[in-house]
Amino acid sequence: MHRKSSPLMKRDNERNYELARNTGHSNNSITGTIESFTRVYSAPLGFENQAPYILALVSLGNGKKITSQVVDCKEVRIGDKVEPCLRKVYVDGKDGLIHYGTKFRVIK
Amino acid sequence: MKIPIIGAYSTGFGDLWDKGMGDLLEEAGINALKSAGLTAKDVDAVYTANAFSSKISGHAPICSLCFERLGISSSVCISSGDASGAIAIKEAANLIMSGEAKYVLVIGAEKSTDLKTNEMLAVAQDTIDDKEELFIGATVQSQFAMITRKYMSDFRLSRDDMSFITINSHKNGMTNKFAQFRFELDVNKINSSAFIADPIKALDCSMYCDGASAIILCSSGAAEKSKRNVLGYLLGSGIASMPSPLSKRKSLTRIDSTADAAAEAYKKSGISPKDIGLIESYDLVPVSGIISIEDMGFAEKGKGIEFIKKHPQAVNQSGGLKSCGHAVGATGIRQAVDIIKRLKKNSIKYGISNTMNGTGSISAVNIFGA
Amino acid sequence: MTGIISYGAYIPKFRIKSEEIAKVQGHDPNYILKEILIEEKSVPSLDEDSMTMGFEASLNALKRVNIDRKRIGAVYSGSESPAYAVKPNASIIGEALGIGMDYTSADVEFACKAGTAAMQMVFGLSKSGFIDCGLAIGSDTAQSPPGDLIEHTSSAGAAAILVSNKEEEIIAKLEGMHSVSSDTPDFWRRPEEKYPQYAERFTGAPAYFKHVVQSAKELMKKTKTSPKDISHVAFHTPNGKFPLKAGSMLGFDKSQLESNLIVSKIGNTYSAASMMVLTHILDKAKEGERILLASFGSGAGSDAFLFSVTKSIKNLNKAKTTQEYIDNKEYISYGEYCKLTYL
Repeated sequence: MHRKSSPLMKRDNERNYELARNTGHSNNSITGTIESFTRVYSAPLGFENQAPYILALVSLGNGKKITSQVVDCKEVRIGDKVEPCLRKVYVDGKDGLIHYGTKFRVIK
Repeated sequence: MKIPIIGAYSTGFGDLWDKGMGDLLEEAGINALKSAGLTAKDVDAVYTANAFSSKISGHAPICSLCFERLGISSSVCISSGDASGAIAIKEAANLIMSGEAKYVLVIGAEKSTDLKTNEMLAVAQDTIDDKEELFIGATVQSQFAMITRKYMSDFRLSRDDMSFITINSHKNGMTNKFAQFRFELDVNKINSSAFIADPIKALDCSMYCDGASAIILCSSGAAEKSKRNVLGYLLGSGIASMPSPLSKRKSLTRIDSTADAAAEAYKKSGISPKDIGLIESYDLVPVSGIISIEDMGFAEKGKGIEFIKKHPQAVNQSGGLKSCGHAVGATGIRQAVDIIKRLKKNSIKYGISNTMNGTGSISAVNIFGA
Repeated sequence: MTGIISYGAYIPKFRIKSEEIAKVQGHDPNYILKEILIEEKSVPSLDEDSMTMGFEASLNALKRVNIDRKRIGAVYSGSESPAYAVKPNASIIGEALGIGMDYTSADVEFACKAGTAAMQMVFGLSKSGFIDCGLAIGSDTAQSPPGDLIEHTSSAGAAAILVSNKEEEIIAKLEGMHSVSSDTPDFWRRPEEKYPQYAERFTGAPAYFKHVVQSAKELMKKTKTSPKDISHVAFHTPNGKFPLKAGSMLGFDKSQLESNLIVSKIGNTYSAASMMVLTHILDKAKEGERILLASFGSGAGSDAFLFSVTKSIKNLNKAKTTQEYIDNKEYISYGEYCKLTYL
């Protein structure tokens, strides 16, 4: 049985794509600030080969926050500014679907 | 509210290779009944608490096992993750207070070692938010790690400062023959263990284990009539929820559900923190145990460790989850057994226990009296 | 008329030096550098693939202009490493970009010229008026077996070209196209195979050079132009040597060909390769200059385009340039490369 069914995945599409689709655009791009973070060594099922990876609680402004991974860097600090990007989150085995989602990159 | 507890029993917690779920339920149930001077026929209902049986063994209806091994027909299974045990106690109490039952048996049990460590860790991740947190590779431990980092930053504490709760739990657990890990820890030993999700290390984390605990509640009328030996009383219970994902919470360092559940329990019992002499806090990881104490009203935010340092014997005298082990569904009931045992022993009037599911999506607080 | 209205590129952050690969695999690093002019190549992270990179390049293209995304009526994605064998990158990218549902899309395969084939489709739909705006993407995470010489060149990257038929938007007008196609077995991959096969020196004269030279020659004939009329030339870049040699065969000089040498720093990005030389050129092109692009796809074929740069190129918004992506790099060891590539 696959981890996430097709209807489930389709319903989550918009949620997974909406943050990253305006990155870099002047009027409606989203940026965030790292409120806290951890480096995950003991990863859950399906994420073992990615470990260690950085998870952060990102404040997006307007009271909105999200827990997500921070990529393309070795270290982060509380207060770092980040922008969303689209990346693979989870590949459901050899024959299942590829789950894409929002991760974050540090903005220098 | 003042519900007599007339029976109590806990199996040892640990790697109980030779015992299956049915064996644990039978052992806890029969011995609790024995301690109450009752037989299964006397019991009106059994409430069982179990978090992960269907994932661990593929077997879900614990109720059938209870019937098979104990012969009790009216049977309910409470499955609310780590808070199952404490919630089952409240539900059993509700049944008694409604007048529907005279004697209710409450048993919590878990068979964590039927899975390998990483498999059990994977199963336990069911207790956090799935759409956002589980989806992106978070775990209970990673979320508590982020809470820990924020807590350390906000209150200028180091890892070693926070380790005091762990060291204290282990010290207390040395004298508890039912605890799984009866050895002392110090900061060097803890720091030499590997990171799980930094800053949380392996020796910071409680281990999932096997075990079962049971108590028997009865109506005050039945206790009087039969002059049963009352071991203690359930004086107040509270259950409360809060948003599961950290991103939806107002503060990372306050578990609102614990504070709300404690408020309900204090209100129902008429007791306040200053009256309480024994605390079983939810020390799955150091920060959860410390915040649990603060949110139950024993210390200001950031001062939980100071409180523990001042009252080392008052906090997790049993050894807590850290030293006893965490037999998920059983833990809330194990805390009850440990409190009423020690209230009597230490001539303390009141005790309080807290468990929370995952990172606090639901918290349950119970207050007991001698 | 039709033409390019915007463009974007994306290169992953990690690089591995050719000499690092050579050290472990027992190759002569001087040979690689001297003979094929490759210094280092890009390596995608574990969580990147041709879709995520294509999406990034497309975002960069959209960033340079202020258009309503719902105008995009076609998305074609060219790759030989699409995320799925069946389920196109193109519509995942379209949905992720938020362009609505009213567009046509498909994934295209023709080895390293899949991206330029996508460009032709989009130019055709645009010029004929069937669509307003179109997006063509070339993106690959190229695979090579450890120890093989192409381990030095197979890299990852994406380029996106946005097209419309509105004169005032066009920054590089399409003056002409010419393509050649044949059945030439120089480089191929069967469906169940992870790595491609290639016919060594046969990939040179009978494949790359034959097709690139012919498509470029015919295009110049068609458009009545010659090398002196063209400021910048973009060829497919399987390595540093081939585009320089093709250029010299056609009569171009080193200065017209220099953009092709980005391959020395990023490797062969397969379907993105020639398109990324184009994006690099567009980052610096001036009004009135002509650009010749001739791609090459094994199997084999070549798509040639002639563009003339308009004054509108000055009106583009700022976005990350191809050079900025080339320069934003972090070196990894061969061990780290193995974890990202082979495990």
